[in-house]
Amino acid sequence: MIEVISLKSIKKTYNSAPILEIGEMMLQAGQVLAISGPNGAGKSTLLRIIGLLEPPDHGSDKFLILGEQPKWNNHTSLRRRMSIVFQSPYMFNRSVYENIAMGLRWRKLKNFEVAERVNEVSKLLEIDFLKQSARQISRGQAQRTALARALTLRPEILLLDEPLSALDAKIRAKLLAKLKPAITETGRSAIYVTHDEAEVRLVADKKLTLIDGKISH
Amino acid sequence: MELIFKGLSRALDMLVNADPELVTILWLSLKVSVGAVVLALAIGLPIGTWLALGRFRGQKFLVALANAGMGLPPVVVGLTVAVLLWRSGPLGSWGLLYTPTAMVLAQLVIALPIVVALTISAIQSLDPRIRLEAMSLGASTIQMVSVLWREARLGIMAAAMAGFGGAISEVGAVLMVGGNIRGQTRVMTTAIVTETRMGHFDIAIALGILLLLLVFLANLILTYLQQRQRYD
Repeated sequence: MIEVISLKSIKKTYNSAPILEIGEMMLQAGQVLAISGPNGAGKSTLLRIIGLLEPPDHGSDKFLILGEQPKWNNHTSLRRRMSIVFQSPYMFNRSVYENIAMGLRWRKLKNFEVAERVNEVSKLLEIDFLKQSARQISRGQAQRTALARALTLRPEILLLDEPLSALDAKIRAKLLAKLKPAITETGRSAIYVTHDEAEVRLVADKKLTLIDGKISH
Repeated sequence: MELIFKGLSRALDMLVNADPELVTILWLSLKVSVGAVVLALAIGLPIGTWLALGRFRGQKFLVALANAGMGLPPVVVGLTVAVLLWRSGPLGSWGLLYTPTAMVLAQLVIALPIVVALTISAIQSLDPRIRLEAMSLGASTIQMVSVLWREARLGIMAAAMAGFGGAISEVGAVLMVGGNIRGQTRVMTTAIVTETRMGHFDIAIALGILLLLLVFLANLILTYLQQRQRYD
């Protein structure tokens, strides 16, 4: 199996207090890893480090993403092979359609390709509010928009930080059932942060729990 | 009271008859101040963005400098630019003193700190999630800056309006580096000074009213553009 994420001895501190200490962590291609744990356990920080949004304080030399060691001063090309969905995603001041299309436009895709991909993912996630201003949609709709925005990019690694927490249980289960095959059928991998054990059972191939910044076995 | 009415009717008269001297003065005022603001935006937006996002030694000091620069006395700016452009000064060989270009330069110095300082505050007041979200969607540096400007466009338009206001309303600097030469470097503010000094209060009041009208119209256009782009 090919390892898409491999971390060793990663440490992150805030105001000299350690908030994350990961001895070893791996993810293989095609797998979905669920990370659970209480609030403040460092789940989001870990996701931001893996997503190359912030560097760790230690361990960046033993850090491999898609077989590459990230260069922290310039990693746009590596970052473009991944995508993060935040729990409270920011909606840019434009339509829902344009929000979903943003990453594609930044990759200079032609208009017809953008339309094709946006429509395909919108259909999957049942987004029927594409023309609305993204500032006027509900939290649940924003979460679905953010998920669509990440999926259209067809990333090799999808990093999801409680992406469906604002949706009611019925819609969440329905979307999860679609999300799992959308990730794994194409050989992609994902990390799925959640509090919900039912979600873990539905999407994950393996799971770990994070407590006080450490993996708890 | 009579003086004000005389001024009002004179203003109306000059406008209706499209007084050629007035048209020249108005056109030059607009050209000089718009030119200065366009340059201030071209230079100030990147600098303001860099100062807003940068984490380096001296960043806070530079931000304080930009903030202080908003209160730069135009007379001191005029003096500095005049000395630089003086025939025996360091840039004297350019032969720019008493030309509209010198006036643009002086107004640029006045508008630039305003644009920089207001851009810093516009960018810094943006939601911090924008950067993370744009990075995670794979934005390059240029794409990131363009998305930040787009999200901060209301504040940036306000910076343009304040810069324009600062430029077109000042008199000390343009008087010193332009020389207030009739038909060549006379603008609205310097014309008002001249007419007042000569006791032509009606013309001075008329020019004052027209200057206010010009500022209002320019801001009306910018405000229209600013509010039209609001999505929410």
